This record gives sequence, C-alpha cells and structure tokens, in this order.
Amino acid sequence: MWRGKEILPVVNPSPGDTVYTSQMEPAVTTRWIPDAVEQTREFDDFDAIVRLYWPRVFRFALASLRDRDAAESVAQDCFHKAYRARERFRGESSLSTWLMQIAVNLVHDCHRNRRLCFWNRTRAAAPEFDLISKSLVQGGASPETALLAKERIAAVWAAVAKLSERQRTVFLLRFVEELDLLEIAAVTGLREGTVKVHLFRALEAVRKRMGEG
Amino acid sequence: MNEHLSPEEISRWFAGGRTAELERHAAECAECGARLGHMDSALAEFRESARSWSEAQSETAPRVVWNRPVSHMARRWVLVAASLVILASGPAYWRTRQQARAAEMAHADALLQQVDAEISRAVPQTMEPLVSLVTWGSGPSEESQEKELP
Repeated sequence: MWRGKEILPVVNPSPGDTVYTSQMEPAVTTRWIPDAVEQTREFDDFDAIVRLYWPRVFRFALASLRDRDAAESVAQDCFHKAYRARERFRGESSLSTWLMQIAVNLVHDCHRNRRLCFWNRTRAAAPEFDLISKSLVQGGASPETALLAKERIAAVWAAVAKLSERQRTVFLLRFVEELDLLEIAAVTGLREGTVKVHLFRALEAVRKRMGEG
Repeated sequence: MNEHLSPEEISRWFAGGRTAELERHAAECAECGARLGHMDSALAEFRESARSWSEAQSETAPRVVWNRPVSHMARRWVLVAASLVILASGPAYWRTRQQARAAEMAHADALLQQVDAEISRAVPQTMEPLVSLVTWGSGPSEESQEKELP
C-alpha cells in the first residue's frame, strides 16, 4: 500500500539531516551546506569553496557529458570563471546556484562544441554498472535483486542519454543533485513552469524506456 | 477517484505536479502505490549510481591542483614592475656597453701603437744591444775618407 508521507520542505538542511527526497525513502542529505556557504560567501577562502563544491560540479558535468576528462575540464573552468567573476557575485542567489549556473553554461558550450566534432560522440563513457550492482550486493541485496536494479539503472541511463540537452540538465539537477523546481529554474534561467514541462517529458521518456506502461 | 493513476499522472507526480486527489488515491490504492514506489526506487538507484560513478572517477582521477588565477590587479602590478626594471636597467646596460667599447678601443689603440713602434725600429729588436755599443757619429766621416784618399 502506498503511503504518502507528509513532506515539509527542508529549507536549510544541515549536514546529516534526514530529508524526504521523493516521497518514499528518507535519505541523508548531501545537499549544499548553507553554513559553509555563509562562511565562504565573502570569497575569503576560495580554496574552501572549491573543496566544498567540486564534487557537485564534477558529478553534474560527468553525468551530463559522460566523459571524465571533459567533466574535469568543466569543473576546473567553472571555478576559474567563478574566481574571476567573484566581484560580480552580489549574493542574489546562493553560491551553489551561482556555481551551478556557470557549470550548466559550460556543459552547454561543451555540447555545442561536440556537435561540431561528430567524432567526439563516440567518446561518451558508460557508468560502471558492475560497480553499482556490486555495491548493492554488498548492501545486502540478493544477486537477483542486484541484477534487476542494474538493468533498471542501465535503462534510466540509456533514456537519459537520449534526452534533449535541456531535458537532461533538468532531470539531472532534479534527480541527482536533488534541487527543487525553483532552484532548477534559477540555475537554468527557465521559468518554473517550463522546468516542470521539461521534467515531465524527461520522466515520460525514462518511464517508457523502463517499460512502465 | 476510482481509476488507477495513468502513466502521465505518474510522470506528473515526479515532475512536481502532485495534487491532493492524486496523493489520496496513491495512499489508498496498493497497485498505484507499488507503481509509484517502483519508479521512485529506479530514480533513487539512478541517483546512487551517478554518485558512485562520480566518486569512483574522482578516486582514479589525478589530484586536481587548484591554481588560483592571478588577479587582474596583480597582473597589472607585475607588468608595471617589469616595465620599471626594464627602464631602470636600460641606461646601466648602455653605460656598461659604452665602457666595454671604450676599453676595446683603447686596447686596439695600444696594439696599433705597438705595431707602429715595431715597424719604425732601425734595427731588429735582437740587434738593439749591439747598436748601443756602436756610436754612429764617432767613426770617420765620408768627407774625411775622401780627403785621405790620394
């Protein structure tokens, strides 16, 4: 029986807080840490900002481009751009949102350049599904469950690879980075309604690929 | 709402389009609850896979050294300092060069004088001790030699 939980929006989750990400299972948040942002807001310690946000920027770039070298390059460029433009950061959005805006633009540039170089399309790497299924088995799941999960994950990745760039960006920001719709709108510069539409289409494609009627 | 959730409604649910009616139905209908749960698990597994993959790639990736870029102001100051050093070292270099040239000229002059001296010698240098033994003006002159002749 489906039991919908009463979800309260977690405005400022602290590290280790339990948040309900998608109505079903509680998850320990790995979202950006507002306290740390406050500490680094003045850009006094840019190295700390890099340490704090590098994993998120790199992860988003890697999932978008599926190329480690390109993802590293995007992450590096993102922080260089942020450092150069730090005087223009007026705190209207969170530092995390601002960095993700830069990252989304850099990933977009990367996609555009790739379109020009058609041979680069073959370089997209596949996530390590074996590694994922191994971790599921180690987590106590039976080999059959792990295999099914592996197939499901592969189906989602395959569907994500076929999405348009904008749909993929929105999908990854929502379901990997766990941004809410308003945050996604701020990062992508789209209206909230447009974000919803892109997300809906992306979910339709994923659901169909998974064989969900 | 008696009918099950349509596929579109499931997508809308996860795209942020939940309504109170959908929530009520999901809470009451086991089948729809299972379908939502299945989709939710797939998305959670996908999230975990993306994170594991990213972490694995970070572990194998070479440690990225964050080189803080030189700010524009700092770059400007470096340029100004470099220009000043060039301007300051210019006259000193010029003076050194002039001194070197003067020394070279003096050496060349000395060499020339030495050559002149060698050329203007009456006898070779090895014969100079003999010349000092002979007084050129003390011998009989040509006139007296002529007189002595019969």
